[in-house]
Amino acid sequence: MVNTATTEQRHTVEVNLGPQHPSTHGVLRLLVELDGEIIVSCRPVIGYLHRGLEKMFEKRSYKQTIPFTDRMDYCASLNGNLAICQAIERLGGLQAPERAQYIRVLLCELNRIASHLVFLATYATDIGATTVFLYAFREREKCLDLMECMTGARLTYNYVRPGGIPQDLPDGFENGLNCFLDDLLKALEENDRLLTGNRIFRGRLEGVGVVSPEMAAAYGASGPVARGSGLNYDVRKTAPYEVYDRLEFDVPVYHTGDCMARYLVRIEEMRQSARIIRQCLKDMPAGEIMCKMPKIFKPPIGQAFSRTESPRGELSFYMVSDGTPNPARVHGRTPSFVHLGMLPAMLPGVKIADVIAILGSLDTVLGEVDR
Amino acid sequence: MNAEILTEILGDRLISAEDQPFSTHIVVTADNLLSVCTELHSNPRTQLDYAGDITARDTGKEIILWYRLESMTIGTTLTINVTVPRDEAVVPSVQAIWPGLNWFERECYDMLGIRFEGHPDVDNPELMRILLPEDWEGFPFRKDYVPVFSGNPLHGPQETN
Repeated sequence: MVNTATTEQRHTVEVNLGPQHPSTHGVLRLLVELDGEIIVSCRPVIGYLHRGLEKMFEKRSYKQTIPFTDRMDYCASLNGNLAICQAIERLGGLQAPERAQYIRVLLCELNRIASHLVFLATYATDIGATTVFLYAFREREKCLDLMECMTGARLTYNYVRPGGIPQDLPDGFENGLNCFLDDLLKALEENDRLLTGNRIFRGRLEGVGVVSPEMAAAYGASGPVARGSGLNYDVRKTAPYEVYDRLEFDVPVYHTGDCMARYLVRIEEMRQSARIIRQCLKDMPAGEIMCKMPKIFKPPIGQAFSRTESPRGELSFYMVSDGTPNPARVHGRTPSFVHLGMLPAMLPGVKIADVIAILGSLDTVLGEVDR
Repeated sequence: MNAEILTEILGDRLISAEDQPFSTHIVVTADNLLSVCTELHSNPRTQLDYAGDITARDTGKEIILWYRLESMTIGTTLTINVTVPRDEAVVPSVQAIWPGLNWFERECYDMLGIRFEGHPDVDNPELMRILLPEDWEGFPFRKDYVPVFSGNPLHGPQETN
């Protein structure tokens, strides 16, 4: 803590939040200037987890880039896999078979549920409701078991391939998935009784960290942050990829723009994901899961751009090929990076006790911010 | 929004415009970038109100910037390419129009050493660096960058307070 007397008769205190703080969910440092308990300014300091992934992509072949995307958003790595594979497919003019597309969507939605359950667990803990953590992680465990039996890993799946997926659904997967979805919907109802209506919880979130729709657009917010602010923006609807245009689901939008709205969007999204998964299971055709790929994949010179809706928001990849087996440039636009950039505008005027509530409601993953 | 409307609005400020499968793509010069962005942000026929993305790449001969902007109201995507020389990589900053692009500009400086004229931290390289330590030397995404090991494995930013 440093006392700094300004030329005016105002005493401000500089407080360092992080980089080692349990509520920042990773190594994030917030330099906060305080006047009493009101925040005057905030400067996020990031980069503690920077590994130079974009540079590493340039030294690897196209297929070898996929495991690196697991290490970006490690709560929803399958969405990262899908985003980069779509960019590669567009670069090389490949098309995944229909069955593979359905399985990709199914797994991405399952991963979205797992990611939102982590949000629910950690956010409730941040606010002070420790019990929810255990209930949410109980459900997430079942979800990760399913992912593990499908992909062989619990967090870093490395599963999607350019042109399809490597393996078909294992035996008994459908049964297990249906049981899990039944459990999940019950658990969400239980959670509504336990947490959503809780007066203390609502008191901490309602009217806190309000983002207007204009601000959300100007700052490039996406995902639950944008939809909590009344911006009806979901890449699955506005620029449908894979088979999303054939599936029926609603996009929850709340207009209050506060932390509660962002929380409610995510809870409702889990129900919608369950709906999507059920439709995928029902509509999935039989057939191939992988298209023909050359052994050494050399896409023509050009650039490609893919957009997907990850649990945190719009995850897009920009990829340039120079005709060699390695990409010339890969850039990932990660939603957490954008959302952290909003903090200097969101925090001034807010009480220091609300910082954790606001930061948690953005649901950032630092692996994705720093890349 | 399509290439035709953009040609009509921008006239000779445009080098080229074409419709691509996922966006409309235009090429402009660095000198015209700010006026083009201001125009497209406020023009009712384009209404680019959403901050998308900025990135750049070094081809070895020149640096090519890639901007992506969206319109939430109309629902269209625009991508802009700007080419600048390697030894004098200067473009105007557009973060005053879309504050969300502030950090992307900082990232481009950090990795490729592009100077964003008009950015609030443009004259302060320590504040402009975003992902790398404040005292890092060189720009790692340039093709001629050679990493130098400082000898200190804990090499990090200088303590500021």
